[in-house]
Amino acid sequence: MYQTPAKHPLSAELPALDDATYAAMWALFCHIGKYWQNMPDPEPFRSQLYSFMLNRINLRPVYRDYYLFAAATLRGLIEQHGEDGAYAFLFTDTDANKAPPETALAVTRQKVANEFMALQLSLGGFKAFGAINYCGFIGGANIPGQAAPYRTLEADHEG
Amino acid sequence: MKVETLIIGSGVAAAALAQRLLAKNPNASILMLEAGRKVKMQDAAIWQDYVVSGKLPYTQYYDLPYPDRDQPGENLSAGTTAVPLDGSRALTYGGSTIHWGGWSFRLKPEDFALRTNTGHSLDWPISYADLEPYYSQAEHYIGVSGDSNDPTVPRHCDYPFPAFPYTLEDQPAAEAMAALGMAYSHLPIARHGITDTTSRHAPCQTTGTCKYCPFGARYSANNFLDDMQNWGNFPGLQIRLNSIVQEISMRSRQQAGGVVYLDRETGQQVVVEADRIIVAAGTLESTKLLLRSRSDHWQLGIGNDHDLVGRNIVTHPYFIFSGSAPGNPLKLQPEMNFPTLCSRHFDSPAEQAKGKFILINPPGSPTVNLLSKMQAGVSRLDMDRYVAGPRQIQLHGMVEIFSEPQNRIANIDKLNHLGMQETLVDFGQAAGFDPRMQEIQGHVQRLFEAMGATMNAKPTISWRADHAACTLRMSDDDSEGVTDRHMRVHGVDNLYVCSNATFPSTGAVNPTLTLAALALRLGDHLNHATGQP
Amino acid sequence: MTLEQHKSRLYPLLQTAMELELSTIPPYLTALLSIKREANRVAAGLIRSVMMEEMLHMVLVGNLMSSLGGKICLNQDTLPSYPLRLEFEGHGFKDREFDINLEAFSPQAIQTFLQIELPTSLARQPQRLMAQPKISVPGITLGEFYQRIIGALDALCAAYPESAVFNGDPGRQISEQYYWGGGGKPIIITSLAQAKAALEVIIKQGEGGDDSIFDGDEHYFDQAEEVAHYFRFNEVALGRRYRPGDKPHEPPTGEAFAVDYQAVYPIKRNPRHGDYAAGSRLATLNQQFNRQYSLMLSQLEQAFNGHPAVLYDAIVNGMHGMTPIAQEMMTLPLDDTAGASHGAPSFEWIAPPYQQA
Repeated sequence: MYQTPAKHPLSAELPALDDATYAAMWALFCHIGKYWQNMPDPEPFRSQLYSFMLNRINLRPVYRDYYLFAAATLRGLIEQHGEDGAYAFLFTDTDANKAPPETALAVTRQKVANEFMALQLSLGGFKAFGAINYCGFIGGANIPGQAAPYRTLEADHEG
Repeated sequence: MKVETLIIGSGVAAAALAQRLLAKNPNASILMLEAGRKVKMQDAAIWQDYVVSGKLPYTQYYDLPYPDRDQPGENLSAGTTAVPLDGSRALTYGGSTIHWGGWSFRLKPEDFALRTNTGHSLDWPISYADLEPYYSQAEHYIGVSGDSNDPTVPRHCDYPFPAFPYTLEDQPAAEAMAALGMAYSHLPIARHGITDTTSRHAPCQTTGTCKYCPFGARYSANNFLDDMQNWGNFPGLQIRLNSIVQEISMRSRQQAGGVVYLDRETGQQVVVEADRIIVAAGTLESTKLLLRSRSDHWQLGIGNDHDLVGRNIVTHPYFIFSGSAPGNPLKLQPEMNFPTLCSRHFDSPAEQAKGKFILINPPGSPTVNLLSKMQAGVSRLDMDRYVAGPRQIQLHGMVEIFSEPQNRIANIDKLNHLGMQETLVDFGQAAGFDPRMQEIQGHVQRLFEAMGATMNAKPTISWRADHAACTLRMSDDDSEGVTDRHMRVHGVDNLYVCSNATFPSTGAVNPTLTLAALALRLGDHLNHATGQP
Repeated sequence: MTLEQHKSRLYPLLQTAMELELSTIPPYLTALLSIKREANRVAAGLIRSVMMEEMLHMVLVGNLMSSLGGKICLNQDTLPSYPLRLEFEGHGFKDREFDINLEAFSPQAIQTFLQIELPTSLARQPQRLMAQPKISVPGITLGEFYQRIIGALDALCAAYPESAVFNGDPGRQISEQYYWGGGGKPIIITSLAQAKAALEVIIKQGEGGDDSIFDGDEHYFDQAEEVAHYFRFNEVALGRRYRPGDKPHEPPTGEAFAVDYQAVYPIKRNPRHGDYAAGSRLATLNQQFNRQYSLMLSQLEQAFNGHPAVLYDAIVNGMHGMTPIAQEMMTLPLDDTAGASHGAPSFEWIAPPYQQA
């Protein structure tokens, strides 16, 4: 508890993220679950998305700009493609995944959407694909007498 | 300045030893000198960075790769087999425990009599029975979860925490091993469990990000040292980072007097006097320090009159067999990031002369990567097909090799990117290695067949120096070993080495638990010698 | 009166209990962090151990609320603000009142901590103060207050089946899966016996057992015997450890240890955000701290009300993230004048944006 957290000196000087940007990022997060049908109820993760974004900004202040930029990019995409269409385009456009990101769309995809996918899977999105634990998911402890926090080999296989 | 005990390094050996000395005498005067810096641990932002991008905060403290056409690199590989240093160790506060996997095996009784049993290398000057109580203490100290009923090695005390049950991913390998009569067991792993006693070390939450645990549940020496500094009442304990020890100075041939170190922050050379010195800087640095500490008393380096310092280096060739299986009806995928099943079936007296080996069912087999598919924009339907479709599987393992005097390490007169002297590694694999790997491949081939999988033609083999050892071997005979049975340098009364370098041989398993046991044993030895109440 | 009506009379008591437990953490944390490193290690360790157990008490109270089907509120309206007047209602003549301050480690601070954790058997004269009470506790001590809750639960279970009383979904409670610390384990509550066990842990960790300095929780947790909170603070006050056999009414007779009230940052007592000059480093840090603190409380509320996994985020981000900010603040003077007080976090509310989203 006597260790200073990882924080870029510039991050401390930044104004807090505005509510509208957070709301746009929350919508993006929710649409990941909608597109892949892997998170029926994202509500409990509102605060975790927020703390994640704060942490990203703390580590690299440019993330504040990424989020602002992504919110603006998404507004444009939604105007153009409608809501579901905009996210589907963002999630699947192959040019948007070319590194390094050189367009607004590519930044939104690689620095924001792709990272939110990683976060979303680790918060529970992985469960739709058959497992009960995942790297990055805090599955819980191995407590004697209780079910393990991951799928296990049947007891009769115990060597 | 002057201290009673000077410890060079801050890894598991240094931390366990200091802990044992301070348990006896909380006011003991101990200075720890660490060449590296501090990495922030259990930091939420760094942890999430690792989760979403795989970046780790300590890789900047790895050696660079060897020089090649495209990059200047560092260190020098002079032999016929390259033993990469890049990634093999972390030059930082806490040493390599900051990135280790936590596999906490004991050696087996026969490992202590390698020469007697096979003619190779050396016997240990102590037996398994001598070390057994310290193995138990080490398991409690670093917090190992393991199966106390596993008959692989004799034990008189249970693990502090129960074994993690086998994962479902272990099923194909377990069934194949059972069908072929190959014994398998729970992999003992340094992950704290739930305790009923007060502990400042959190239990493993099976988060699978063990390379950077958000809770500090996997033993890392720097966490324990921080804990001692923050909450222990040890007024005589000092830890100095950024302090690169240049040489050990000798008061006489039999008496080490202290060290000279470079304070990297001020650029000043600092002299420290000490009543006794423990070199616990890992195999490479401990060895190089003795080699470069030349004086009229020891013209070839301390303890090197028989030209043994730096010779006989071994590491564990780590092999990965890959293959494919037709489908994945159970949707097996990586749920954990550490293995739970291993086989020490071939880590046996019968295999000892040829080179024992262990097998591991790795946690990333089959290799299902949901994130890469999502990020590539693959649809849900195609992702479901991918998860249940043909699977790529792996079996890992490592094999014992034997010391040979021509395999050696030494200093190079050049500084690496962290200001430490670079390393020459002169190593060539033995003629018998390829045939031995062929035999191993035969065993693994049968396992793949039993799993219904097709094996790729050849394994990948890493000679990386993670388990580098044996360069300052213990022996009662000073013509065969640099250190005695208490890891004291032969011929010097107050200089000890606490490192894998002192192992006479390494068996087929990871060395860290054995090192922790030796460190605790050394602590008892020193406590006894000083006659503290 | 229906069962639900009976329960809804109990909920405010449990909400008070939660606010009480929470209200102890900022002062304990402030005192702990005000200690300059190297000094007062024993005292720091004792304060920290009490603070960890207060967090466990919050979890236990949260589980009890959840087991009955109620909800915990942790927000702007329930946030403790300092100085915090605590009024303990005794039986007429025995009322106790005192202020809890955010202040540096000092003899006065330790005296306040002793007041907070006072065992019922040691409660004596009233101590009258001037201001309006902020938290009114129906009991002369925390212990007596929790005994009243036990009494209410007994009455409820005498009138209704236990299964109807404890009808909350246990999956919404915080199990040992989600919480760890030096202070023992959470108890999942589905029966009167478990509810009592949870409350007994709180009482005994606070004030000790009947005529005992020990906290008695070794029965629950197989821990080595530890003295109760009151007595741990008394150890700090007297600079001496208790040892087995010592009695509550007598001073400790164990090993002496050094307590240095000078090795402390001279922080401002009960700071407010407005104390820090706009644009100053202290203002920036305090803002960050309060944002993190509010986020943590909001996540604790989520965790107590059915999403236990959010507790991880609260711990990893909240507690780990807040303390270093507080420490940096304590090294910074408020202004350039000689002898100026140093900063400290004000523990005020900044609503996280997702609450408006």
